[in-house]
Amino acid sequence: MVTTLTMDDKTFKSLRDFIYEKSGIYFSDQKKYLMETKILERIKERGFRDFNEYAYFLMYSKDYKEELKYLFNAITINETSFFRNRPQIDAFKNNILPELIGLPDRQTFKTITILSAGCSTGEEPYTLAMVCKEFINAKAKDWRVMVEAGDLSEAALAQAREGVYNSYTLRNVPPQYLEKYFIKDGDNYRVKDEIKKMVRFYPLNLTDDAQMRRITKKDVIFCRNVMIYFDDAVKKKVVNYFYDVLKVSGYLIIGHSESLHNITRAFKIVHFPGALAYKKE
Amino acid sequence: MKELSNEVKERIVEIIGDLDSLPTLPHVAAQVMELSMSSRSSVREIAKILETDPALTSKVLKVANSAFYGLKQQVNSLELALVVLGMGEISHLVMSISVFSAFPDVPGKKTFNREQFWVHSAGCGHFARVIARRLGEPSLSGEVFVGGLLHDIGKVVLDEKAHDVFTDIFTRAQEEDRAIYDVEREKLGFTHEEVGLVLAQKWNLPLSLQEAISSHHHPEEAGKSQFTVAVVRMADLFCKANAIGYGGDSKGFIFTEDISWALVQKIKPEIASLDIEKFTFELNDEIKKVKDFINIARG
Repeated sequence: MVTTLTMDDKTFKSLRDFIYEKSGIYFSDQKKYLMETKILERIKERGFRDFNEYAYFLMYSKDYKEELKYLFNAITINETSFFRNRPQIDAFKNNILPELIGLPDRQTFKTITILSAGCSTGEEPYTLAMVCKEFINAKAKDWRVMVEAGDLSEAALAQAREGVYNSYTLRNVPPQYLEKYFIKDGDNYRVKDEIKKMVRFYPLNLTDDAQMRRITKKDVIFCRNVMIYFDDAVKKKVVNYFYDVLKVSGYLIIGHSESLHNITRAFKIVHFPGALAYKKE
Repeated sequence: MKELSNEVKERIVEIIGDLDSLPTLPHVAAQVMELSMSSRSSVREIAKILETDPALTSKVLKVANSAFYGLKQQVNSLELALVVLGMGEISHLVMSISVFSAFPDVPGKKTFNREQFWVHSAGCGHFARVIARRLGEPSLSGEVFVGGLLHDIGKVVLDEKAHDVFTDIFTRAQEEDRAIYDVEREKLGFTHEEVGLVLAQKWNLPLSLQEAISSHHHPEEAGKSQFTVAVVRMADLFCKANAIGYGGDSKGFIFTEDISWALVQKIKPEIASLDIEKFTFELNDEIKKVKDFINIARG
């Protein structure tokens, strides 16, 4: 029987540290309540006595990886949306893009290439394409942007290519973008062709060496909340590929509460207001 | 230690007016500050002065019992607070709370949002405190807290005493995505650092606080309190990293390449192994405490 229905701070903090150490993801205090709810379900299902026993199981069992996967899925569910994590998008638009188009070695081709790795149903690559379009129209008319977007799931890719979204996924889209780059389609919204044309979707398995080797050089890679499911060895390999694929002065952007601290020291960590990015120097 | 030349002082007076019109530090805070700096003063003496201001005393106790300190025991009396937290910490706390009465939130023309300003300032102070503790220097936590809280105080003085001039500077900085500091230097020939220093000297603040105010953009120019100033500067950057920055530009920066990092590392080489990402996330969780502190201190 469950006797303790709330998780004390000490248990929360040790679970958080454990999860961070194993996965590089940091659950903020704000996530405590959600974590509590999800773990409580788990406690009931699996017949643990209380939060402490669950924490003990998670930290000392051989099967902790499976359980971590379950927890991530339960806690990070339903977070995909356009303009997800605004400070990262703002840093990309206000800082990274202007920096890149100012670099001497980018002047020959005047092209910015972006990879959205683990693009799911397309919200991220389309967001990046729109933001780039706005930026180019305002400040760099003769530049071109190409967004590549890869995901493991064919079903997700099919939906992405379709480019039709419900209003929940669009809840963070600034009104001027909604008006400019979407067409209302019944209850849904369709991404306009001028944006679709900027994005190329293809199947991509980040852990497949042959596929990773085929990726061409990029200026920016977004890979948000994808690598949390990989163990350290796989993560190191994927991050190494990203490093190789990035051009000098290019940026890797991962989830806003993810960290590569235990994975690599190859990049410089650049902080922007409310966001950080990994830069290849 | 940065000195104010007569020329700069004259320029400042020209812009902000007579220094006598600057706010004064509440008497009790000034006395407590002075007493705490003397090695001969006792807990009893400080308590006696504080008791003359019951509103201030009650705020001190409220903060002492809040999540801000996270004490395990309840602190019901000033004497106990002085014993548990120490005279230095209490005097700095008194100082911090008093700053809010020296700059009350009166209606009137304001270039920038005071609420955000105080969240940034107290955030900088609190982050500096967390950094000092993390680096094994808890005895500095009171000093760096007030240093952080006051580092930008010159901006409030400028906004209140030279409103139109400051509005121009502020607007220009925002439009061009530049630091207010740079635009001040260009337009006035001095910055909020020097204006803050004028106030700090008028208030007779300890040198460490004067330096935190006058050199937080260039901690390498600080004298004896260089470590304190570097910690405040680092905390200021962590505020930016967590989007509670105020008055800076939005440009990216690299912690390990900032001068504050090198200065701190000289004294605390172990900072090299800090997990910057995790520390940034942890500090973000601290913002709630900062807001609680402000609510009590202003309330």
